[in-house]
Amino acid sequence: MAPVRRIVASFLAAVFLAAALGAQAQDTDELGVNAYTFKYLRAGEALPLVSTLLSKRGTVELQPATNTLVIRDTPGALSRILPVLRTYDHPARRLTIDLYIVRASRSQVSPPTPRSDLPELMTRRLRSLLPYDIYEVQAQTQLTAREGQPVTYALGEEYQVTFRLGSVAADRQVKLSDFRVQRRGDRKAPAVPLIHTNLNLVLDQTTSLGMARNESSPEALMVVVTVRNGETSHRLQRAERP
Amino acid sequence: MSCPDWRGLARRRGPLHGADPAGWDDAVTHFENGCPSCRRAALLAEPMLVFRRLRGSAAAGAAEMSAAQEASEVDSVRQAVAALRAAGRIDASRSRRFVHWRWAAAAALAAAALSIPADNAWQLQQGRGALPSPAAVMRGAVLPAAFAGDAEMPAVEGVNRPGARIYHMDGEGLSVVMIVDESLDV
Repeated sequence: MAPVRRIVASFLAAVFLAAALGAQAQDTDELGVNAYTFKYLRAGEALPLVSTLLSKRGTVELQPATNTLVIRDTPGALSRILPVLRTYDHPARRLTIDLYIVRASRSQVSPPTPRSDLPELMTRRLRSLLPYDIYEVQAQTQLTAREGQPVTYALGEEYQVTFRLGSVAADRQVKLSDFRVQRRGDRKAPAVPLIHTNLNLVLDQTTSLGMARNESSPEALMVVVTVRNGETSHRLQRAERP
Repeated sequence: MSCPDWRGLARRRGPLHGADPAGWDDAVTHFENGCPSCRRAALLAEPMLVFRRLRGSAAAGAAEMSAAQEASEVDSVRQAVAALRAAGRIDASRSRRFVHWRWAAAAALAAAALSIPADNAWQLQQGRGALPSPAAVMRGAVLPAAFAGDAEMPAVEGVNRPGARIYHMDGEGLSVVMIVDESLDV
């Protein structure tokens, strides 16, 4: 057994040594500096995107006066970041947004009578994850907006959704910043804020943002949102009927 | 029925799948019936099962969970996430197109967000009070790199509810986020 142990120990030592040398080589890469001045977008909007692409040693500095990001990082990271920024900094495009307010609940009768206004596949997926078998659309809209535009929409009489449509990054990601869902009660009473967040969406992928008081709540409110390129889109087709 | 092999089932199960592996439905029924022996293993395999708990109770005519029981369920999910991380099961490489685990900490800044993909598709994050406000907090700042990797960002970036628990599961064509907070008037 002893020779085997020695072989294993030697192998492990060699692996650790190689890893350490590799890490050291990476650490000693000289950092480069690159300033990117945005033509179409506010540089601040690209900060979160850049931060996800930096190496462990990288930093990014915002210079708002010149609408510039100054990025310090390894050559490898810079070569990854700059093409992304060039793609990101583009003239505002029009995007189509589908928004649905959905109330999800559990059937109160036995046997349960599931029903859904949502497409069959989405309903099936939601039911596989959540304890609700009824999905009722309370309000819905389809609208178009340009990247960077603020959007306010009253969905039905009860809800209001506001956000600023971000720019498409990496040809597929889009941020809805300052995303707020409010419930409007009496017209004289102020709206009740439900959720305030930033949403990172993927183009053409539907996101269901659900809200519930706890994991075992008998019902939940959902905002179902899909963002697509261009002005045409495929609206969700209602599927199930009781 | 003996307890299901939750780890095996989880390995064979993709996110937002069209078809679950054989035995999955029986396993979920077993969970919904409230088996205490494998509850933790089930939540480790599929944390969003925590949402299914009451369905089983309601179907069986049982009383709803107490606040303490609910807290225990949620705590199990938290522990499951911690155990996954501690055990190093979360792999930083994004290996499959639609199948990856992701755990993320909600953060005040997008730059502080953490995204660690691995081999399935759920995440639980604890809400934090501060909301990202790029114009207010990032001006002139020098941000350290939060993490290396691709540019994919957490679906929900900060929530205005400090105590909120945020569940997230990505899948082909559909991303499901649940924000759970006692103060939500929904």
